[in-house]
Amino acid sequence: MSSFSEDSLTDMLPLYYKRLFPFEPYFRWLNYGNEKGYFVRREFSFTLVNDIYIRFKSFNDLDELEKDIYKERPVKIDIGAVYNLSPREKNHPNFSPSEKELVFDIDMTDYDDIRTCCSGADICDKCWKFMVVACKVLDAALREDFGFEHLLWVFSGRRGIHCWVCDAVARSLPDKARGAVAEYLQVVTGGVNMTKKVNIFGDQVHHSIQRAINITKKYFVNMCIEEQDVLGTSKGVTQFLGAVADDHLRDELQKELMKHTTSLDRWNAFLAHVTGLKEKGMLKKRNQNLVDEIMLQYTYPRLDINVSKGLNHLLKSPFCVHPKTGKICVPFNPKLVEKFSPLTVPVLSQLIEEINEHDSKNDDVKSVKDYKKTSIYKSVVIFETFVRGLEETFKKRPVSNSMEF
Amino acid sequence: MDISRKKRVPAMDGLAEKSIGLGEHNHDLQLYVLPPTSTIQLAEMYDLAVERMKVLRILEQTLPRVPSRNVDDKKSAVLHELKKQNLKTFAKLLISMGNEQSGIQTNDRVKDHLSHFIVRLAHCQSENLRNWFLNRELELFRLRFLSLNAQGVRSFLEANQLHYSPITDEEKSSVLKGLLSSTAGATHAGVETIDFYKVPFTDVLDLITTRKVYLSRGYAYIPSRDLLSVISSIFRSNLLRNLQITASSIVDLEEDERLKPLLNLHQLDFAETYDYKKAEGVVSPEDLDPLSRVSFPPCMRQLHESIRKTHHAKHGTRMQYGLFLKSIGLGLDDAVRFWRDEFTKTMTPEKFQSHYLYNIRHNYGQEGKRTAYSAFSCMKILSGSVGAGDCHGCPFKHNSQPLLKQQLENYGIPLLGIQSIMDFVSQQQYQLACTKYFEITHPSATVEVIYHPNQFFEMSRKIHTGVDVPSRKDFESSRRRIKTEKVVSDESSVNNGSHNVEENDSVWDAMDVDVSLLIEEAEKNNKGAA
Repeated sequence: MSSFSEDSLTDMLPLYYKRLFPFEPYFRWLNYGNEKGYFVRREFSFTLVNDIYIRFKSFNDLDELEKDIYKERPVKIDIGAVYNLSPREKNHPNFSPSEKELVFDIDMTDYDDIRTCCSGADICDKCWKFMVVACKVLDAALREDFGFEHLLWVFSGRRGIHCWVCDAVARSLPDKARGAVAEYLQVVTGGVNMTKKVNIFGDQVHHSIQRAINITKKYFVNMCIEEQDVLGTSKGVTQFLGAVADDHLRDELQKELMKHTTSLDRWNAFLAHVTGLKEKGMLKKRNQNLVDEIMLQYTYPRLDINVSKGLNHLLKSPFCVHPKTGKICVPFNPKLVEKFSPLTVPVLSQLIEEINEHDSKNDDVKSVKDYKKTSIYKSVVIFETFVRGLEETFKKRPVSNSMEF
Repeated sequence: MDISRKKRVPAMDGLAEKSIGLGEHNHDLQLYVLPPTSTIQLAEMYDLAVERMKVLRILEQTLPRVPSRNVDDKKSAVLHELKKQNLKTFAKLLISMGNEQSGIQTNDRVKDHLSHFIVRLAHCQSENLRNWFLNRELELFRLRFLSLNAQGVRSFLEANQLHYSPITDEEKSSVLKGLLSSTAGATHAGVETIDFYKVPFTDVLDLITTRKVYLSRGYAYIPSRDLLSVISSIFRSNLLRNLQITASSIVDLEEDERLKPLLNLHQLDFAETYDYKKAEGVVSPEDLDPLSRVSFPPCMRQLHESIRKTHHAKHGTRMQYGLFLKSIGLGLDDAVRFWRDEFTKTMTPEKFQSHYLYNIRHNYGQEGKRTAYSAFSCMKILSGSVGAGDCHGCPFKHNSQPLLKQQLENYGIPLLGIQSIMDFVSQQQYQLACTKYFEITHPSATVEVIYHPNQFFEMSRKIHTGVDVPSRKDFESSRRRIKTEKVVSDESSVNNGSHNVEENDSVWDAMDVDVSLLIEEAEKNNKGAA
């Protein structure tokens, strides 16, 4: 893989927008079958070089969008809400957001207290597994519980993932409903000052939690106990046992766990002790779900729910180039998320080399579209598949009022 | 224009005949769908409006102070106040079971109907006013709905053509497993016998938020007792939509001189709920360290110390602490200085400028919608969500108990005191825990239950400085006085065109939402903060 330097970004961006950015499907996506004059009322915002930030841009059509991007060469493009009026009229007293995709943002930094392999902006295949689990849990909940079908999953360029829920019902949700969906999906709560972050009360476990448990169970031991080695240090053990609310049980477990040295042995000792108590009927009611609670605390998706709650919250557009890493914010297939690695995401400089290499070896320079010559091809195909799926719904549904909720 | 009191028709006489929206008056509880079409004397209109405003004020002031979560306790507290202020009609309406025995006359229903619409008119012009009105009306509606008996509920549904019908036994058995695991408080026998309704999830957002319902493919399966959720959601969206429609058509009304006092009704009562400008500059960043130790409630002290320590603050912290600081009198320039000094210990001034300055100015109403946001109340803080990595919230609720104990110890609370605070914490009585904390740190003071961080702060300052910061009680009674005077003298105020209430004593957050009754959006505060 070729290296990327921030300085070269401004040189390469014009080329990227001219030759690789998938304007055509991108427009078809945001145009939503030209439903209700959607596209023209959509807010875009650009970040230009030197951190100049322009909000409330809007475009009449694909042509205008393309030309403006060529001209401004934004370092970052954010997508905002669809307003009741064109964003050009942003000073109108009645100007207000009316629709937007329901979006989710999961960032690796929220896992810093439980990942040991990297911290901050760094990421590796080990900690990426947190994102794999997050994607699977959320994808299932959004589809099965809420009945959403058109989910666009996107790598955020460095250390996280975004999800754009594009169903008509999702787009028309008011703030309050977005808040409700977001909180429904937020199971890990309590801030840095709360050591126990997941609570499951009673003997009935809500079906969405049970599904999350079933998913995370498959990953937990390998990902957290072995690879992240969460019980490998006594500090880790203390943090882990912070999730046990019962003082007496915590002391007991502390002693049990410290009889062993490796993370896996300690986990097994923990399991043995808790299941032992349970079988003898000596586990307090409050602690019945302790094992599941702890697994969820270490694996359940940690959402930045403020992003999801606000109708007018902006989110970085798919196919942006991350200015620090040069990585493209590519869409990925949630069914194959396990095969996705943030380390092999196409980097801008590499894409440009790939075009050059192709062109020097072949004589179909003109007839083959540039993106097909590079490793961004796959991502564009995923994106186009998503857009086609979305367009099916416009064909099926006669132009009428959307579902009356 | 003549709204002289001499000319007015005796209250309510013949109102029933004048009002055409009869569909609205065939039940004690209504959704206020159709506006009244009768003619009415201005003075009468005004009296009706003032009366309903009193009811809404009572809800606003009483509900957050009922420490119990029990609906009946809340209702009896409200009822007590209504009776005290001689609001007989609304006292009756509040507890009506919705059947013939309720003793509600058509006149009472008409009064309810008219007064709602008049006050609605006065509250459609800004988002703040709309939200305030919406939340109060919802509180009222929910309390009243819960008074209805089974027959009352059925006739209410009928009267409003709400056709909810239970799912069939066949459908029930196909989702039985989900119903059992996900319906709050469900037992096997219970699920078999009670009716379930299948409704779009957007109708029952509060059940979604708390994960108390089985949800599949966008539909929630609710037991009959949760119908209230659905109905209040309908009530809410109806009212919200109508408020917006009214707002866009009110331009014409504004030209009608006669209606001006009415449109300014809200000013009498609660415009400028928190006059931070008056206090601006009272506190400077240098005061914060000593003040935080002596007079901050633990939720704010914790945030202050965290910012000093980490030189950073996530969004939730910036909102909760930033608005608190604003309300205790930290001016905008000082606020910018405070945050900049801290943040730039770990980032460049440019990054601060581009990422955080907007947010701070926004809190002071200097950006975006230019709304003067009010500080968070305990209710708002307690019901807000605190994600992993966040350090805002209420320490009594959101900190784990060992850590909380440690904190209290560090704050110099004696062991015995810690124990009594922790007792409240275990009973989930967080506001009482905080009140206990106040009592221990301010011995010999008489204390009211803490329901707002700024109330904590002002009570503390009063004790420490001896300066009489007006307490909420003083303020309310003085304001009530102003209000009555205002009503009596409405002619003069109309004539000289002045509707400004001079008194703007600091009062905390009259716009807040009682989330124990309703789940309200945390919404607007995030707006534009992207």
